[in-house]
Amino acid sequence: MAKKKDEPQNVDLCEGIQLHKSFFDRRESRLFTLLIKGFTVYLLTMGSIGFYLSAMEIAYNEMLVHIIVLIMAFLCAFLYYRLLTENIGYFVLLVSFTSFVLMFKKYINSGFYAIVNITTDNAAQYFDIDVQRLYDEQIGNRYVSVTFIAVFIGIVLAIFYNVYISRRMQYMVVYFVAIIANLIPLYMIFEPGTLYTIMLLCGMALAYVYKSGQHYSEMVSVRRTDEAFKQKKKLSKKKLGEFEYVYDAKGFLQTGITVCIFIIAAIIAVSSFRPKETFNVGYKANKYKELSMAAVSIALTEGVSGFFKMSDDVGGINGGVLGKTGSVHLDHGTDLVVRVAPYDLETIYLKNFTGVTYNPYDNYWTAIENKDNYTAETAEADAYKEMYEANDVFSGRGYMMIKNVGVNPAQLYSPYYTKSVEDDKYGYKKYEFYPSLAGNNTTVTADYYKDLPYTEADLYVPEANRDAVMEIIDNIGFIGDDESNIEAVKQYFQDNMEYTINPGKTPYGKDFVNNFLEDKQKGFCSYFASAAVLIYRQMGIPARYVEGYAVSFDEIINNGEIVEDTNYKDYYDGYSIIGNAALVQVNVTDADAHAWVEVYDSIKGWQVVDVTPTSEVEEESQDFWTMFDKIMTEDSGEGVEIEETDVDAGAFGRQIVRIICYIMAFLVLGFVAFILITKGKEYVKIFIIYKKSNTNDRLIIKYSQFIKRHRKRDKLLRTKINYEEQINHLFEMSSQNDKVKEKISTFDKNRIIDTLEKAGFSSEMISMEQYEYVTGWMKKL
Amino acid sequence: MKLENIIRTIGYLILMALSVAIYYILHSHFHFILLIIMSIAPVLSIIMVILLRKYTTAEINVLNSDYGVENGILYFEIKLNNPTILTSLDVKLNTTVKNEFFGHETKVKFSVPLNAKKGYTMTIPLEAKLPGRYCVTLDSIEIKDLMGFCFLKKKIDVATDIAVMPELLTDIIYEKSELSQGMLESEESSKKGNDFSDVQEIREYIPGDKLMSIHWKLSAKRDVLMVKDRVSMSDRQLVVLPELSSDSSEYLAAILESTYSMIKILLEDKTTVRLMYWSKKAYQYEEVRIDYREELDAAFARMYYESTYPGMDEAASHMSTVNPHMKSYLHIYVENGKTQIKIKENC
Repeated sequence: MAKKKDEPQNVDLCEGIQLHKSFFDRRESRLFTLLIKGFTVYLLTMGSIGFYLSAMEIAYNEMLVHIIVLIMAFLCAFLYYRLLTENIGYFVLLVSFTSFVLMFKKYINSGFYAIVNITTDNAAQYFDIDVQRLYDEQIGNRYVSVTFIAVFIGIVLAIFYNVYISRRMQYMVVYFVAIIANLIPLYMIFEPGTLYTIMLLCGMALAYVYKSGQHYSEMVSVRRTDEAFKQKKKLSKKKLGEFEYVYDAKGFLQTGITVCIFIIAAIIAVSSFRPKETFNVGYKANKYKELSMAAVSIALTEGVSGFFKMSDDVGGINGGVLGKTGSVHLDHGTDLVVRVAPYDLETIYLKNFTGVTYNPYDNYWTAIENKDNYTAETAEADAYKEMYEANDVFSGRGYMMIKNVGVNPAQLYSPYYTKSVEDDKYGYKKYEFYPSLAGNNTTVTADYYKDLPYTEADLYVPEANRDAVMEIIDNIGFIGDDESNIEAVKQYFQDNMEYTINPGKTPYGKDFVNNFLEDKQKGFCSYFASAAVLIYRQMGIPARYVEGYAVSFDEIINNGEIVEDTNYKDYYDGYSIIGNAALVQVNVTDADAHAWVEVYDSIKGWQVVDVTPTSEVEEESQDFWTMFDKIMTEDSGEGVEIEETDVDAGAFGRQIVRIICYIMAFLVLGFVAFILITKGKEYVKIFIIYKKSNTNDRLIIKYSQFIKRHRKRDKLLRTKINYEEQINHLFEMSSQNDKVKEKISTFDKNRIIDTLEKAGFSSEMISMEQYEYVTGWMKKL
Repeated sequence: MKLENIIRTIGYLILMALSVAIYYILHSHFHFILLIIMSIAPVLSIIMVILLRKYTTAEINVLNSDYGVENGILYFEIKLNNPTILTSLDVKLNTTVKNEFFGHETKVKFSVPLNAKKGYTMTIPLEAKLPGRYCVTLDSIEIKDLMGFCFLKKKIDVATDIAVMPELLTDIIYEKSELSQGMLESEESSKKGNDFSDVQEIREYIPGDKLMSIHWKLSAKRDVLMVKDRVSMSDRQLVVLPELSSDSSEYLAAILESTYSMIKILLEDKTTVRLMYWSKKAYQYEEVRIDYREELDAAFARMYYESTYPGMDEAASHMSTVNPHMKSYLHIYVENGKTQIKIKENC
């Protein structure tokens, strides 16, 4: 009968003496060892979950989660008892886990969203930002849904940690997963509960100490035997006589207890000396954290993609530059703080940029300030001011206070029609303006203008755009007067063009307006405004392109806060259709950034025309969180529950593709990490050996590396086994290679071979001069 | 410091640097605790291993009774005593295993845990493929600290040994007629002062007693020198002279096996044997009288303290000059790869 492959044999120690095979007969309690490993996995898993949830003060059924995670951790650890249990166990586990997820996906999704929402709330509070996006939780009872997600994460983490702990005691992986993942609450100064601090630190310390002891039973993953001893790997003849115990349950337990006692004592001692409740009292965040906070704010509001914006746009608006933004990313961060005393229901337009000349193919508007023969005009403001001063019923004077928060502080965002601007306290600018109110009959005659009310530039349509513009006009059909034409264009856009914040960039070499009118036929405000300006001009209506912010009355009402201790009359005086309200402060975000058109009316002067069509569908920006949200909610959109029977084959297919993509990405990342770690360890080892070596060994190490590199690209060199053959070969190759300027002479060759042989085989040390001579030649080759 | 310790220390320093960086940026209470623990733990770990080195003792014993047998198993027990409550997950036992008679030696390293209070006990079963004196020495122990930063070495130097008797050969080839001739001649040599007799009484050593009369095994047991009072009973006596040649382990083992088996046959045949061998150290013959089986083992155990020498006739070559009165003896040696058991005339 053939011997079993793994059956132990006598080991020759030296001539006539063998270590008898009965040495390997000693058995250890593998179940007990697995139990200890399982407990370590439990500490780490529950420590990681509890850390986050306790720090964020999220309530859930802790006892239930503890019990399930403990059972799961033991179960996972025991999978390694036998190869059979592992194979069958993992399959059963996968089936059970999938069933659990499918059965309770609504709870798991809701629990996840609950955690994200609570984290977002806490983050919004900590960063003092306005995060508008909250995920739709299908299950209203957070206590239940968070318990489900905690169990779900617990199972995933237990399996993950078990692979690294039970097999390899990879404490580094544990450190990175447990510590780095839990940086989120710590970043916002949310400290975990003491129990979970103890659990996590005990788990990490145990993994570290067991790994350091190097007897954590890797056989569990290799041979699945309970042999107490094994022969050390036969890496060298020197190690043939080395035998090591595989594991010792008693030692494991005693060491574990010692480590845990130390950790608990240390935590109690440190916490009593510096309690966490008062730890950060009076502490001011350091400059690095402050620097990172802006980035974290972006990440929180926009996701990872927020870091990859290609243009410096605000809500897709970029100082007259067009077509660079393929997709509008909204951070919902405050750009302006506006204090206004409301007086009617119209949208307030805050003008920042006025474009006069459109530059086709270069795709930008030349600002009015950069045009010759233009002077800042306040004609409309002057006219309305006169009206106000004449106590006209339909007139008024307002002071709008605007503070630039997320935009260039030097920029002006002027309400219509601003007469003057001055700096006010607390960083605000005070805009004195005279609004155009419904019912007023003031005529802004040309006399109000210092120069002409408009010039030829305000009617100029570039040659390159005329065909596209004319085609639209033909489609609209010439109506008649200016007012009708303006409305017709607006209506045409509403009927035929699609509003989207994700139109895609203008292709390289294409004109922005032509591309929009002829091909895309969809876009956001700057698309419509730019096209409308050229269309109006072609119709003979002087028009300009304007950028800024548009704040609707609804927004003022819904998001605004009344500024206490202020008097409405101090900020607005005159006709108000809503009566004497109050001074309201509203945060204007990049979602309010807008582009519109100014057209010249011979009676009213330059007037706002908003040609951007309204969108029936609320569109979301394509940021990271949105995409993530889509992934998570693909089977149940917008809180509308899909019946279980309503199976979407396409969605299932997409899900499969997505899972495959994830697996592929994971494998690629894992492979890259494996290569980096393996190579890194190899280089570190070589480096340390090199540093500890004498000159002979150093030369041999360097030469080995040198030959290894050359062997990769020189097949013939792989057949050369000794120094002489290798150097002779290199000598021949170098004589054929024109790139090698300095050829090796026969003398050099022999000297190199002699030196290498002396370093490799002789006990005599080579000199530094010889060392440098050979290494010098290596560099030349 | 071993490479393993260096890598672990570097890894720990990287983790610590990372924790310091995180603490510096976040100023979290958790990382404050983590840093305190990471700072104290190595110090405690080193203190623990220092204490372990101080208090850990070791002993080594042979578990076999009396002597071992060639191709049999010898059980050596190494016992680490740890009176403290501290532990180590890795203690290296640096041992030397040798067959002193054959001059075979090797270093063997065992890695064991060191448990609190009880230490650790390990039994090493060695299969003796050759006869001789087997010795296991625990030279030192190296205790690793729990954090894996260092090994602290402690010199121990405790040893124990056991004699392993040669295997009994069942197919031994010798000329019986030659043997009878040798025996007769040995009677003659007995008359010239050589003592061929049976033991009548065993008593304590009295100054003046011959060293040859000392009962070594009994003396060792009682811790007092005992001698055997003999009366000449047998008329069948023989001198056996094996060549303790170091030329080849195989040949030496064969000589010992043949010698041992031959003497046993002779003892069973009620023949008194005088085992004579050449002492390279003393440059003279050592001689042990063997009347019983137990004495045979003791004689071999004593012989194992001798050194072997090159060549196959060293012992025989000195006979004519050192023991000229010896007429003949049974010479055991190897020639052409075969063991020779021959009566030689002392000329």
